[in-house]
Amino acid sequence: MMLLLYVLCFAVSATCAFLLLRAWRTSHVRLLLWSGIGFTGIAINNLILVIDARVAADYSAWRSAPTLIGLLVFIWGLAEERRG
Amino acid sequence: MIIAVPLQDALRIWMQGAIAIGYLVVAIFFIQFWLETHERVFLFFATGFVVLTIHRALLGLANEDLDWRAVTFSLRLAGYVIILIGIIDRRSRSRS
Amino acid sequence: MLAPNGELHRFLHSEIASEEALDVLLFLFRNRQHAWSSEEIRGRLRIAGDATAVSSAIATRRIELRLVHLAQKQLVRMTAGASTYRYEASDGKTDAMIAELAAMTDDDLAAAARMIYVRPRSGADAFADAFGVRKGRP
Repeated sequence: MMLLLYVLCFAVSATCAFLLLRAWRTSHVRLLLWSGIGFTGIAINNLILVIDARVAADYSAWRSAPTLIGLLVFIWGLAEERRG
Repeated sequence: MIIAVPLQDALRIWMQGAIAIGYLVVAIFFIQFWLETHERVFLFFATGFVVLTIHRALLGLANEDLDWRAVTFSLRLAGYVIILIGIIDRRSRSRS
Repeated sequence: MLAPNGELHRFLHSEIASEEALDVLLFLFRNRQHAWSSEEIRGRLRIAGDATAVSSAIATRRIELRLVHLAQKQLVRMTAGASTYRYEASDGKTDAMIAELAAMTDDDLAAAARMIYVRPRSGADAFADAFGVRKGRP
């Protein structure tokens, strides 16, 4: 049950990462790169949960680290976009 | 030791809090993008990320017993499903 | 033909509110040695719509409003005491863009005027387009 959820989460976040990075390849808009990296971090986190979904240690710090790093990059990109 | 709880717990709680705020900041930027472009996809993404913010906050704050399991599971599912609907909605609208 | 220019587009969309304002700004730029009152500008410039017998007082008032708008955007400066205005750009980059606009042919200027009203494509648009099917609008 949990595994199904994690597979869904991985599929959605990986799809976002894929679409954004693919669009970045053609248009070279920086925000697409930063947000693509952000969703990649989230996808890696979800992939770890899919591979190793032990109930007790589901959300330990190191599993979530890719998300945090991805988010920092993402937020940097968003702020850069607003700076204009 | 200056940390009040075991290091592992402190790291977990801290990390979930940081990610929760991170998701919230991203959601705020998405709202700005929606105000600028009026693209519905940004509303879906913002809502999804806010739900995931609450999910992460609960992961940090709640203990690991079964009552909370159902809640956190539902929140995670809801957040990602909302984002998925946003993607599907955007793709179908750009086809027309 | 006017080449796509993101910086010019952003300038026109955010700093210039109307084609009339653009006309007034370019007039002041071309005659930047002097300060002009709205009355004088009305005499020298034919504002769109004047052909339909709009009274000169209204036309002068319209130009006055454009001048106030341009002054707020720090593109022109009002002479203290008199209500005359002269061109004064805030920096070299802006000055270069206005010089470019002043040197354009009528066709190119009409295309540039369109940029006043159309929102320039931003990163947010590119983000939304990434999730679409077709290639986004250019």
